[in-house]
Parts: sequence; C-alpha cells; structure tokens
Amino acid sequence: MPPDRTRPPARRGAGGIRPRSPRPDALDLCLRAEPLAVREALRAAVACYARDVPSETVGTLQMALAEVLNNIVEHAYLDRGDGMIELHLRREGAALCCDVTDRGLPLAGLALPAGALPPTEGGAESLPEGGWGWALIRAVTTDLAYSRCGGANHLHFKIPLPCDQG
Amino acid sequence: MDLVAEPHPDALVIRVKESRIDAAVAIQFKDRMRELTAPGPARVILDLSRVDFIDSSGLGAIVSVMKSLAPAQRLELAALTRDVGKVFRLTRMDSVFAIHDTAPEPGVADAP
Repeated sequence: MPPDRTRPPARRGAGGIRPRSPRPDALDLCLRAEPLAVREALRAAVACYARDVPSETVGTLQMALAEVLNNIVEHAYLDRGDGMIELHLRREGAALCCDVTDRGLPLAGLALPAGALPPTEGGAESLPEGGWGWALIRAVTTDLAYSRCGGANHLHFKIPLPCDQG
Repeated sequence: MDLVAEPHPDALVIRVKESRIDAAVAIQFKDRMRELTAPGPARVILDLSRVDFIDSSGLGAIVSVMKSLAPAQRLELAALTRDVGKVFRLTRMDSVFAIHDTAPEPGVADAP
C-alpha cells in the first residue's frame, strides 16, 4: 500500500447521497432507493477503491453491490423511490466488507434466497429476463448474512481481495 | 439512451454509445432497440465495446430484445468488456447468444 495517499475522488452525490466517511478506504453513504441514486452510489464505491484495489476486484464489488441495491429498490421498497438505504464499505484485512441497511419489506421467509440460476433450456421463448441477482451475489461474495431487526433489513457480505493484496 | 444503428452488408450493427446498461436505463434500452430493429434485418450485432458495466436488469433487457425479434431475425453480441463478460458467464447467458470477440469495423457499410 502506498504510504501517502490523497483522498479518493470526490464523493458528492445526487439522489440524496450523503458521504460521511473520514477514512479514505471506507465509504458511508445514505442514498435514496431509486435507480439513479444507486448508479451514483456505485460510482462512489468504485472511486473509493480505484487507486488501491485491483480493477477486477472493484468490478466484482460493483456487480454484487448493484444487485443488492437493485433488489432493495425493487423488492424492499417496491420501486416507490421513497425509501432510504444505508451503505457502509470498508477494507478489512484481505477483503472489502459491505453492510447495507434498509427499512423496506423483509426478505421472504426472513431468509436469504437460495440463488439458483433461472433455467435456460426450453428455447428462446422461455428464456428468463431476470432472476439472476442472488445467483450473481452468491457467486462472488463470501460471509453473506441477512438479519431483520427493528423493522430494518441488514445485509452483510465480503468481496475477497486477491491473495497478494491482503 | 445513445444507440447508433449502422447498416453493414450482412448485418445491422448497433453500437451502444453508453458506458452502462443498468436498471436506470433498461426500459429506454429496450424501447430504442425495438425501434432500431423494427425494419427487420435478419442479423443484428450489438456492439458492447463501450459498455463497462451491466447489471441483471440490463442483461434482462438484452434478453427481452432478443425474444421480441421476429422469428427470422437473430441478435448477436460483440466486444464484451471484462466485467460485462463476467455477468454473461456467471448467468450462463453466454451460452444463449452468439458472442464475437470484436465488433465489425465502421465504414464497411460503404463497401460495394
């Protein structure tokens, strides 16, 4: 890790994003649950680690985080656009740690979906047009955990860094 | 959604001039693609070389466009960047589309 780092690019944001983190390798955001705010939050997350984390790992973080945030927008807040999401990212040892909180509807059965891929057999007509989110999240994260507490959903996961980055 | 259609002798090449196909633009992407493919070219090649991010909504939009084509039309993909290719592999949608490493060069449209 370089000894002297300046702060990552500015994390100002549209869509209700409020950056609050004093650490250069951490990001704390509160964003409105709607697609453009999700896009801004993803940009901020990528910018936060662009200097010091391999770009492939940053790409993986963006993929997982996008699916997590999109799920909240669509399923926890039913695309109403009026909810808020708290996002906390930090680098911890050999991983990027992510905690996401919302106050929307709980996950069905208060449990993480299995995340099986939708089937692709059966011809073009029956191809899936969605349903990949949890499969993508499960494919690239570790330590995935969900809890419902006091009317809030909490999701935790890690994106492992390559071995030589720990 | 900035999509540009370029007629080539053997295909209609549609170049995505955006860096993201995500939930924020999935519907516009579908609508614009349907307009551009409506004239009915048999072969459509989607040039994704400028797209560095796609989420499951964007992927769903591409599948939806493919399913909405006429039976005699087909949609192929070209020039997937690293992170876009990863989403196609992890969802096994790479087995559903013909995927070319590179997109046709511009200018071929003028060839005799």
